[in-house]
Amino acid sequence: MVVMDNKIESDQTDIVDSDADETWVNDVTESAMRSMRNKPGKAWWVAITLLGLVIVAGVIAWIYQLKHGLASAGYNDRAFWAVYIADVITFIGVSYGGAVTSAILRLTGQSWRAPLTRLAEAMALVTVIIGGTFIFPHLGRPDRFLNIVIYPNFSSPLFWDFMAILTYTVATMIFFYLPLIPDMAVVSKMLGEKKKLWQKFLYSSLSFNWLGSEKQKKALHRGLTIISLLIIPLAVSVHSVLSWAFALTSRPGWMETVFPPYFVIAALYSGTAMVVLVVAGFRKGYKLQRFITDRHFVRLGYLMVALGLVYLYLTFADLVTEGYTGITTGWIKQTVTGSYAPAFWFYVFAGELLPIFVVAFKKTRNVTGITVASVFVVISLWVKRLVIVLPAATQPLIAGAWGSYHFTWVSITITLAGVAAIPFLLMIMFRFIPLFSIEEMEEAGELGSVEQVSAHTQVLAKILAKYTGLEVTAPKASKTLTASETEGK
Amino acid sequence: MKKLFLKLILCTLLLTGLAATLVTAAAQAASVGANGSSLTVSLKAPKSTALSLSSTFSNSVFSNTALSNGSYRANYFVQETEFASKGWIQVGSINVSVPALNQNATSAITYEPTWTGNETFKVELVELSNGNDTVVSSSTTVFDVLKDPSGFPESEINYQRPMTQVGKWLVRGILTLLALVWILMFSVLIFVVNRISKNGKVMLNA
Repeated sequence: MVVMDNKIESDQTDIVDSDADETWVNDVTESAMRSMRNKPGKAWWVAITLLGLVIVAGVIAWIYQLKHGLASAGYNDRAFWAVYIADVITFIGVSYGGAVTSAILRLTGQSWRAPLTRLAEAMALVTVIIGGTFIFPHLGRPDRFLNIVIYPNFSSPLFWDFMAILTYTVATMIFFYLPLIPDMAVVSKMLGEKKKLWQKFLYSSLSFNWLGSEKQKKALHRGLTIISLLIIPLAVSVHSVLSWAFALTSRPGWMETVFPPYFVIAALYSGTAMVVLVVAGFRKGYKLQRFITDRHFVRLGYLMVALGLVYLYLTFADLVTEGYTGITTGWIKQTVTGSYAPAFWFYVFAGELLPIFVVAFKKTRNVTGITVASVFVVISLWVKRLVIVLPAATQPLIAGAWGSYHFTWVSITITLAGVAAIPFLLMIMFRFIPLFSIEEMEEAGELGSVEQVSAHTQVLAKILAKYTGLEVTAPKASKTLTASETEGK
Repeated sequence: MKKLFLKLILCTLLLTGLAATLVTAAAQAASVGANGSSLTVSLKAPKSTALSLSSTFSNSVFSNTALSNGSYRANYFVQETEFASKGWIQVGSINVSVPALNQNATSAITYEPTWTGNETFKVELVELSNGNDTVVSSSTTVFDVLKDPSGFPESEINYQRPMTQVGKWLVRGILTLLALVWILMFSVLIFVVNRISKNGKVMLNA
């Protein structure tokens, strides 16, 4: 799309129910900018206030923890790693899932990805920042974080964790920013001369004279391809190094060779589920059903279940290898039949079997079914991370009783604050940037995405019916055709 | 002349011997604590997976002093040198009875090292009193942990501490790779932004 005119600027009417004369381009632009142009409603303010309160409560809980020590979060000498490290893995994991899903779809040229990538990439950026922040409550004393920079210990996986997460975060930022350039130009043109100073900086400066020429498109495409190629091994490295923080310790239950792929697949699995949740939320909130259809959810559902099955297999492989030797089975007993058994079996049923059934049956293979399954996947994968951390951390290595970890209001509040921060930051972020990449949506339209092809087939069916009197059944189009499109064809 | 030379040698030997005796006595005196206790630490079983930290208490010193009351404890520590800072981490402790102290007793704990190489251990004999524990004596020793705790064959034992041998090059290699990733990331960003900006300017001017 060449951004040379201010055609869209004149259209200030309520465009949720689009006029018949709107073109595909205008429809896309309007829908993408719905979160920016429309004043936030009551529901938005209520949601943002409630989420903000949870975040404030989390900050208060952290201050309390700083004052009273990690014991206030349920930690003790026999449960030295617990909920916060599970939070770190979970949040960075879902980030990884979002980034890799987007990168793979981009690299394989899947045109149906267009309405999803922006939401997935934004989610990846937000969750990696939140996940990184959880390292501070996990450390107990945040001032010690500086030691990793002042006294780097190259033989410690924690140092490489820091480096990997930092590199991945920067890569995610670039991956998020590059597709934004054309949209910044669109927004800048729409705002015209009325721009405030911050808008001028945000939209004009960051769009770098984007006009949508072939040369510019080529440069952007090339850059995005390289970053997409780069972000996949980077994300793999982040979760591998994160797993080595466990696997390189001499502790049964953690010292496992399977851990790097185990963590990587868990991240992809939970990340895909989180993409579903974010997409479902914004689709409903901003009425994007026209662009984000059932088909998108079904495809993400298939991807999610495929990853879930791989993760189930790795869980089985981990348990059977350790359990068969019988040398260090204390943590397995604790996990499968002991005090952590309810959590483990919750993961198996809610996080593995439920999504498989939801996707397997046509009746439940829809937006609601897949969204509900995704909620269970995200929660159960967090529970699974706790099941990985706690039994191994609390088992005695020399002699004595098993340690135990109990949740306290501090750890629960801080964790909930992290959860609340995801929609909070995304809702605020999308007040300033379009909901999906206008450029990519147009490209998808030009290429003829499945929805478009389906729409065209319907047009053909209508023409045939008009001139021949034959009833031709065409596949149902997810994209509602406007009058002009129907007439035009 | 010859006699004088011999006398000089004799005097030198005598003085050296005297000095050596004085130094030894001083060292012994220094190792004897306030209560007159003497504590030595010897580490045994170097070839087993678990390391026996054994402390022997001198009978002669304890029997000469009135150690009939109070209770004692031997605390064992290992020195950690992570993050370029040194610190003692307690690896165990054992209560020592007074009769045991008076009978040239030995107290021992086992400790499983997690890697091979030089490890510095310390033992402290602490006199326990209400709210005011005092260190009577302490002793430090460096022990070379030869046995790989993971059961690696002894003939192939080298220092198994992570990244001590290949680490230097491995670390450099990974850091170089990391630097290349950062350079690539920012090069891509600069290339894209630059190309878009330049082309946009040309088009606008045209």
